[in-house]
Amino acid sequence: MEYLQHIANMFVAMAQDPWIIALIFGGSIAGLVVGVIPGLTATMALALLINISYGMSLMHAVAFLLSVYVGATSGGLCSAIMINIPGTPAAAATSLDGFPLAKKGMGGLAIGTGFIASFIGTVFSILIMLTLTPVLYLIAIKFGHWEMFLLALFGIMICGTLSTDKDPIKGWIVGFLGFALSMVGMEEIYAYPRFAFGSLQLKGGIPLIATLIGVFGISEVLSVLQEPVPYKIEGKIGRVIPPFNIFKKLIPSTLRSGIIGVIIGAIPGAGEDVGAWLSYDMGKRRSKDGDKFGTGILEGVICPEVANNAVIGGAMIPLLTLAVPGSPPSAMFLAAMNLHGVRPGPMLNIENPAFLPMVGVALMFASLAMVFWGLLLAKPMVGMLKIKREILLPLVVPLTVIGAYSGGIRIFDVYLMLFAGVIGYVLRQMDYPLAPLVLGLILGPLADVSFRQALMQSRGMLLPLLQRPIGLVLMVAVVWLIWTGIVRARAYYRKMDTLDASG
Amino acid sequence: MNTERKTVSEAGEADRKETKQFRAKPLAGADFITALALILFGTAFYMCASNMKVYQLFFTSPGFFPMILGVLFVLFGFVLLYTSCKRGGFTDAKRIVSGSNIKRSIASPVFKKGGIVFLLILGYVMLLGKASFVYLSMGYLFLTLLYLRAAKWYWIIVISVLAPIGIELVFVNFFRIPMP
Amino acid sequence: MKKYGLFMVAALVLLALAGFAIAAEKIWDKGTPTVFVGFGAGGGTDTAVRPLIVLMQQHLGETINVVNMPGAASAVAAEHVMGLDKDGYSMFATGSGCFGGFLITETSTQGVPWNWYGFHHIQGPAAFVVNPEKSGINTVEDAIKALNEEKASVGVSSLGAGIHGFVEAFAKAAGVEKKINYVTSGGDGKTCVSVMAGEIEIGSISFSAGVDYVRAGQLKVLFLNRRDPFVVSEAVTIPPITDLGDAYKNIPDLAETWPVMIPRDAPKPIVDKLQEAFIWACEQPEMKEFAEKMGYQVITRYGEEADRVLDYQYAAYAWVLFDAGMADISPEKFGIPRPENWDWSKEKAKYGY
Repeated sequence: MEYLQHIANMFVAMAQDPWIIALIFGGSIAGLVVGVIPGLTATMALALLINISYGMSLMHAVAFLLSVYVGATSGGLCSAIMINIPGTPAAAATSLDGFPLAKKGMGGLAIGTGFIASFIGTVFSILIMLTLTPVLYLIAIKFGHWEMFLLALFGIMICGTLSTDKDPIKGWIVGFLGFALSMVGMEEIYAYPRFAFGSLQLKGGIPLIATLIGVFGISEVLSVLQEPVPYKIEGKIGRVIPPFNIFKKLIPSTLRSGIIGVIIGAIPGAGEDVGAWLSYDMGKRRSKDGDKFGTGILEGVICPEVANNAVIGGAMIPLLTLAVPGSPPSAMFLAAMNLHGVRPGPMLNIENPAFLPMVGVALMFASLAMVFWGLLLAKPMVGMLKIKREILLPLVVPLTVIGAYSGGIRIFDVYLMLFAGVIGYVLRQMDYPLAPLVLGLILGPLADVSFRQALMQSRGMLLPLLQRPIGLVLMVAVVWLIWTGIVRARAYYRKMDTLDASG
Repeated sequence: MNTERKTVSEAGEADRKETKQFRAKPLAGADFITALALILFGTAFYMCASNMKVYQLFFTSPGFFPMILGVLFVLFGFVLLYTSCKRGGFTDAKRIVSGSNIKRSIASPVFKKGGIVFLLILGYVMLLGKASFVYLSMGYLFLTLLYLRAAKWYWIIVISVLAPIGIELVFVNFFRIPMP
Repeated sequence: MKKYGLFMVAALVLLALAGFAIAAEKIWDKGTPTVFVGFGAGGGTDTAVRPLIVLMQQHLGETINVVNMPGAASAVAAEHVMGLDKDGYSMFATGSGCFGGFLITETSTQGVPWNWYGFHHIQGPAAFVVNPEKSGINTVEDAIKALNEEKASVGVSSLGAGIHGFVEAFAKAAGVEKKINYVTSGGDGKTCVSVMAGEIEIGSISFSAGVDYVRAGQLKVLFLNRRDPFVVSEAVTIPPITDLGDAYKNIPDLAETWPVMIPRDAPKPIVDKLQEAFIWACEQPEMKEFAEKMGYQVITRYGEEADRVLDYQYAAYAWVLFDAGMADISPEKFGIPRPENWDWSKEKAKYGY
């Protein structure tokens, strides 16, 4: 009862404070802009804004930072849908159906649906966070090094299977190529420089953001602009807010995606991107329209968008109970809270019982602001869709340069971006999906380090690791993925053979 | 950069044409070539990793995970080789690397256009840091838009002057992000 | 109309002048400076350093970005900052115990103490934490027994970090004969969680990262590397390592510090300004309050004094690591003296004194 009272008090306190409302709406739009621009991510935005938030009171800072976080996580969907360049790694899965929808002239509806899905995902995860935190944090504890390794492996294999509708093996190859790229530079256990060949720049590793924008952004620019007549998006803007019955039909998918997002969020190390891919995968497998995924259906936008936002609430669970962040942006939030003298961790509920309700209510307001701006801006954004690609895409290039440069403040990253763009272009021409490359780069260090840490823990023996129950479940899941993948690949080539014969 | 461009010409171009004409043999030749490349890459990756320093335990040393990856690449390479051969990959690959095919690809308008768009970006990126970001971006946008005939010339001037200024304002003054 | 026009021009000129004036006053006029923290967000180093940076920027009136760049006991971040221009825009923060491993483990050639100018605001002890319920380890004797029977792994945030050196020094004093099996976690906070979950038997952490778990009764601290007991609450008092016996009295009192460091070659005006802000920050009540709550002590150490203490720790940790077989190269090769032979009057030349 006391807990509910806290929530109610917090709600009233925030709703009455005009500054908070202003900060929430301001933070939300700033976050959206960051999310829309390829290369600027929630993590980066939070890192830049932490210092500003220090001058604010705790409640103001929480409201402001969480609004930026929610906004930036959601904003990525716009560029994914409009120009097929995901604004953040988390939105890569969204472009699979979002972009085809835009090409069909349903861009407005896709963006509107995406924002509403993001809203639902956030709110769902807040409710779970407020009620089930004491249970769910046990999941976080149960994930040791071995489980983290398997999860990373699972994540990359799912992404590899999904991001191509043809041969899953190609997806896996690209995913492991991402792993390989992430091996470059000093590794985290002994600081041994791998594959750096004496270059100081390479010792620092391959930067994620620069690769992301290169692989998606530059390669998109190249492959669209090389066409004699780049594609055009015609048609009226149409409605932006989806009819309610679309969602009613998709309640199971939405719920499932929300649960996936929360759980992935609660596991430290796996972030928004893994949540989105996993949810898209489950959607594709479980939905009645599973075979239409990837051709441009709203469900394919809803699944990843609900999940990547649900990760936010999920990530708060280990953050608040263990002071272990569940995703990179939430790590920045943790740092900000430390600055304000709030120490998330086991003592939080005793020392600062109003903090969890504060986070919950602030997230609630933040998601409201996000969906408000999202729907308000959807129409003008879709208007941008009609700008000729010959104008729009060259304009993207300077933005990608800024995005690549600002991550590490070195020109080398911009060169790498261009290089990644060429690789992305080549892969794209050969039917290889691009998303696994980026996800591989994210998950590679996690897989490598966790794998070796697990072996450290077992003193180099594999057997003790195989006896871990959650690990066992994950291993079965990986094997199952490989099996279904091989079956799919064979079916695909068989179909091609018959086509060949008949053609 | 040159080698990448070659790969583009070999694989991308030819396959695009081919896939447009008859979708039936998807990239058999290109797959054959990639498979070989993958096997080579995997072997090199493995060799590199196996030369890394071993600390307390072999299993926890820096080279262990990359070695596994190297093996995986070789494995994947052979799988790809197998599937592509079944689809006539070898003959298709021979066709792709034949002189006439490469010549045809390079001469194709798509390759030319893509190449120029790329060279413009390359020039832009290479000049970064040597001149102010705003002027460089103006120059890049002007040339690119002009080449693409994206709009009337006066609009091109307006866009290529205003956009970099706007970007600079938003990023430097509002987000406080450093510029190249 | 003309009047308005003139008025506008005048206003613009004024604005431009004001802009120039502001730009001229800024310490970092070309962009935002960044501190690269060598460990993950929310870890011991991170939580120790951030309050200092925040107070410093409050005094300077300018933003300082903080970026976490974990890896190899912060060698990755050290190398990164040293590889950038030494224009005063990039700084580095880590635990003072990390420097000893840089040269001898070949992780960083540039990150050695004399290449930096450091500001040390607080110091704090290392701690051994256990979860008796999961591991059955309840006392120091249990821990030594488990280590000798190879039944316990020791969690450290990163190999080569100060807390790692501390484990080796402890093992030597305690007569542990077996090689210790380490598991790295990437951060002291994560080490705590692993110990709590029973994944790892013993955790060596900087105490501040675990203090809340101790208050909540989820972890037990066996001892602290300091010279007097620490009172957590009425019920819990943690003994200092010197209480364990005479053998432990020789473990150097290497209370770790978490300095913010700027390359020594950075422009002097920037360093001076930073120093001024640093001294101001250490005097603030917020700093004292923060230190008290976390079990730290405010020391306000900079200049030659800071170099002297750090150089001693550097030598001590280098030899601890080498003696433990964690490094192939002897500190001797780099002219690092054993702590007992260490003499500041001989060492200070490399710092330029």
